[in-house]
Amino acid sequence: MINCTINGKKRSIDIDPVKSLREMLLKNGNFAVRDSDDAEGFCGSDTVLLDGTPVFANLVLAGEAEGCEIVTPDSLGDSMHLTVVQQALIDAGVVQSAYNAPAAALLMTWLFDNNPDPSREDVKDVLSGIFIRDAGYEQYYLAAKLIKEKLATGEYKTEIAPEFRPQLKSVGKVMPKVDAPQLVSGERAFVEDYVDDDTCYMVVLRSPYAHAYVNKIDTSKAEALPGVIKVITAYNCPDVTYMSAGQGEPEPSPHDRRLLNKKVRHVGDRVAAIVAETLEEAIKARDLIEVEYEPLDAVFTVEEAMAEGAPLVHNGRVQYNAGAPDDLDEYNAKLSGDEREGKVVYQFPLHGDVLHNVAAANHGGIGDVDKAFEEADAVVEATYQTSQIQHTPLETHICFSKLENGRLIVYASTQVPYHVRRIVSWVTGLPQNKIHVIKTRVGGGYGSKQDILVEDLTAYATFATGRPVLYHNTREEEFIANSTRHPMRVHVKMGGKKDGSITGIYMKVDANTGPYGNHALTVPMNSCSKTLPLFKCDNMKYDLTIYYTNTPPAGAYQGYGTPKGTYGLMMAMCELADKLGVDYKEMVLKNHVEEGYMLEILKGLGEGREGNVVPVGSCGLREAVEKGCEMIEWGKREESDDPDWKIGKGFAMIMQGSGLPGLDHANAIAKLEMDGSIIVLSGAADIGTGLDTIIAKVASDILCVPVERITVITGDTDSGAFDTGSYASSGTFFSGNAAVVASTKLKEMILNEAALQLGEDKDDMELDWPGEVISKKTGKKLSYYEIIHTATSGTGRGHLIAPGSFTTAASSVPYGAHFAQVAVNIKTGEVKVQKFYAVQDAGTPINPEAALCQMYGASLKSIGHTLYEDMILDEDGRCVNANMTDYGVPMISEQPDDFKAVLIDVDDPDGPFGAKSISEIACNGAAPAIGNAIHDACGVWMRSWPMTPEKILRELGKIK
Amino acid sequence: MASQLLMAKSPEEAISAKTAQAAFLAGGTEVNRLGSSVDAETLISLKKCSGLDGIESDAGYVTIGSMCTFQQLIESDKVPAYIREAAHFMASRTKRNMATIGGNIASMRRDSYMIPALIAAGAVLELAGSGGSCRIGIEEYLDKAAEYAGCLILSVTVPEKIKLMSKRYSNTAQSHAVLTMSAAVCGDGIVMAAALKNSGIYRLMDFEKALKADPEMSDDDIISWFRNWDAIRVEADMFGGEDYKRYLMGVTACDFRAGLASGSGKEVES
Repeated sequence: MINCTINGKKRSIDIDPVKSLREMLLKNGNFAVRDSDDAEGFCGSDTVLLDGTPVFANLVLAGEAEGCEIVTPDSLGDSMHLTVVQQALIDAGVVQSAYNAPAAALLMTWLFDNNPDPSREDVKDVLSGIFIRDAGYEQYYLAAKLIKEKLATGEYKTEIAPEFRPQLKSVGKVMPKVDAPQLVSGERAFVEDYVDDDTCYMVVLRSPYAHAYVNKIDTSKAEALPGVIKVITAYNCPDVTYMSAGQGEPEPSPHDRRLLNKKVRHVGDRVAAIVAETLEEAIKARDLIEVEYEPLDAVFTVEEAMAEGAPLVHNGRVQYNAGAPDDLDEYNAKLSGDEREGKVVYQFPLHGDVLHNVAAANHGGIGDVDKAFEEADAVVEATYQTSQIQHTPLETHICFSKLENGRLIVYASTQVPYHVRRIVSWVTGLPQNKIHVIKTRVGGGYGSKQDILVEDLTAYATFATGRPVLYHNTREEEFIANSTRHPMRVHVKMGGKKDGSITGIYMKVDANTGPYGNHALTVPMNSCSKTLPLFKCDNMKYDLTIYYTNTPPAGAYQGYGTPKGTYGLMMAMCELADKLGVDYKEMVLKNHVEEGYMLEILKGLGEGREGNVVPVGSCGLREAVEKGCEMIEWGKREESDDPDWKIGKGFAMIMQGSGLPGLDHANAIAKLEMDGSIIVLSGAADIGTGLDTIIAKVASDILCVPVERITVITGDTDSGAFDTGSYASSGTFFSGNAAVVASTKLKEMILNEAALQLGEDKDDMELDWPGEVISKKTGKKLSYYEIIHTATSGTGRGHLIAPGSFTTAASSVPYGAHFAQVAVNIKTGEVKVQKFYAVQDAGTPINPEAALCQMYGASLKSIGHTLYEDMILDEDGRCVNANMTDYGVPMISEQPDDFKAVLIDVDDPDGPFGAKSISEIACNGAAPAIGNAIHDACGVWMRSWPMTPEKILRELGKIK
Repeated sequence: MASQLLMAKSPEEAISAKTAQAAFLAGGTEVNRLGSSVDAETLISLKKCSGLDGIESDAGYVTIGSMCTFQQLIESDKVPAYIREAAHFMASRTKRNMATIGGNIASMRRDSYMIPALIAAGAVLELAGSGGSCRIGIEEYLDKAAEYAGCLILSVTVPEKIKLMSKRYSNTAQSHAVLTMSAAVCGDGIVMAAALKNSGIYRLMDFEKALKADPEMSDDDIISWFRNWDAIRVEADMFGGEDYKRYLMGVTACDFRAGLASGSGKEVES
């Protein structure tokens, strides 16, 4: 029994003293003391105060807390009674996916309790033990300023963010994110918070081999253990071939895996799933499973995969559900046909060729690049290599499922609830009406939760056993068994004239999709489709090939392939400018697209079908370039006092999309409730970025109702209506526009109903704040309460409910430019990013403070990708740095000293109230901006990311 | 995982409980962390052990209790600047609130934050074991690790005034270091030490001798010396290639030599 004081209350807790303090606190109900790193002492999700000092609860034993005073993050204030610190974090916009928001609030509270006037260094120091992947750290400094002001004067003095569209009351205004109070206070929010007491645990036995047949599995010893409910293997799981990508159906990804396969294709691949009544029993059972593997030769790089005679990652039968080639039988005869291989099923042709380890391919272009290169005054040609990167969401992948009245209930941390439902339906054979997916708050996705990586197996385990089942990835499993960013080799050839005009561009992209083809085509495709349309160039060509290998799987990652394509193209452009003797900025300004320029290049860059050729729409690119160059003082040479440190500047123009026109689809339902308040049911999946708030704000401005009177319910497949999900930067544009459509329809219904009730013409009716209809003719007014009350009385016309559906062929493209100033130590190869400016056209920023945070977060993340993040595999394909410390992610210490995010005001004609996407594009600029700055500093072209000190020294000729 | 926790109230109690199956538990950042190399049936927590958390200054030396946390070192005016700098190498404040100087020494990690600076400073450890107590230099403690494995570090004594420089190389501030090096002026020479990840912790005595023999060695010669130094095994791993690591030691040694000669050591700030 441990006696201590927790949040001011004396407690006696019956727990083994060698268990961790965190486990003890969980037992006490303090579930907001979370775990992101399996007790690595890195992420800080487990931060508590122990006798007044912040510590990691995972690294303290319960017995050591005897007699101690413990304070946990959930002690601060609840969602209806927030403290000054919690409110300031919300107001600054940093409460995004927020898995660590309660811990951050605790640390900031502790800081101000001990120092009412903390400096920037004090804030940096206190947050040095906490990992924030979504919003970065810059706006925590703003939050500290707001706290200081509020405590000193009772109000904020500092502007939080610029506001947009003065004619509107909610859109473009600084306003708390609707889910932020719940998140910052540590209320139930995430999947782990909804797990029932009688839940069983599932663990997965994973392959030690990169490539092997699973010839035999003996599970008898495991199954004999008390508490073990079921062991699922390739030999007793459904024979359903599918894939994990959460994309529109039919997917532009090959179906090439089952729940468990008879052939493992990467270290960490699923071999067996063990369901037991306790986690300890499940782990013990896992250790008793005997597997007979038949190891096979493996391939780990695109070079190995494309080599003649390379081992084949998929050597089974190929099928097509549409568009099968005439010689398919002949083709299949060349494959081994071994039953253990399974099969690869294309929904339609993706130019895959498993006989050569090709999962998908695409080729195309416009004009004549060969002629363009002949006519050029200079041509550069270089290959840019990118690494395999992990998303590292703070909340590792998790799923809880249970049966309820003959239905499968799936609590998922996902970006794509409707795709989860579809894939669970495929795996279990249940119709979709028998599956209820509840997307909880998502503790970080970044694309990794666009893949259905744990929900399929967890839901099937419940289906097969009838028991509630929880599955939660370890941090190591995040690295070895999740999706990651595709390593790519981007070869660029670019020609230009002495006047700075580009005559032709050729891109050859070879991407490594790993063992399975989820997102095989779409992610690498973005390396061309979201980069080449930046250029006003008549001659462009691309060859894109995606290879299967035996590395840990790749998949969707924020930005898809765009950061890599941008890296190659913008570095090559800088090299070309250098070769031509033209100023890089002038070259950018001479060659970038402008509004109205017809993007012929898009024709071949659809996702599995012909793309839409559209003109460039609203475009703030030029303004972003000019603004950023002014901020960073482009052309002015900076000198360091230390001769070993050389300073340079670089930048890159960037673009992304706002969803996929012609492919994405969103729906919403707006309802006028009985007291005149509004509920919007949406199929959207808010993953912490503020999508629910966007929906509330657009409904607010259309329906003339304050946001506080609007509740948005999203991510629930029972109550919402279909939405393709949050990926490809679609949330604001598609789900936001669906809310616009539904709200506008509800507005019409309200006007109609008011006209009927007043006996006047609808044309004389108009909405007025706060939630009433006024007759322009008679001046009569009806409140929404009066309207709905009458409508739902025994003689009324019923509840006012408006569905809204949004599809479009229009494309609202966000643009921008990112700028870096770096210092390079030419003796040690160290790089410091001194300045980083993200300047972006996001259309109308509906949540401006959240938008800035997302720009900071994505920029910092991509600085990490550029300089150090890299999954390193040994010769057997085993990831040797599958933990946070060895992998290395940017924390507050890594943030540039001078870090700015600037929004360019552009009103887009197609976005909801002029909005475009904001976050994903911010991943695209760091690598080329920093790479070009390194060249400016010390003269070397860094053609491989991460741009480590070792690589820089090698380029400088200092080491072998 | 341990099955028993003992909360020692005194060093004597901790020492008497120490068996081959038991391990001392200081701040917990090493013993309780994911992937810890410590495997013991009983953990002897020192958190409530009396007399291990003082910092005393006397006659030009500072004696630091082994349970002083890194953060306490940073906040103490008595602690020399070079020790505070080494403590700052641990970038996480929360971790610094927990990690102790004694724990960091005893864990002997090859990416140690603190040990190179302590070697360069000629730190002396006060140990206590079942056979009594003793004071030994940190180098001896490291050299005879097995012999002293059962001993509890009571305190660390370092000189107040010494010219000492340190440098740590890592991917990010929180990543494990590929190399941590320190050098201090000692008499008419330089004492230098390095913790090289996946290789070892070294007093660079061979280099010190070489430098003493040829004080005018060029920077290129120093880098070459480290490239050719065959007394240590350096392998390529995820932290870098062999040439990179050897070059880094060499170039850092050059910086230290120049820096110490020009008075850049931390002594001035302490």
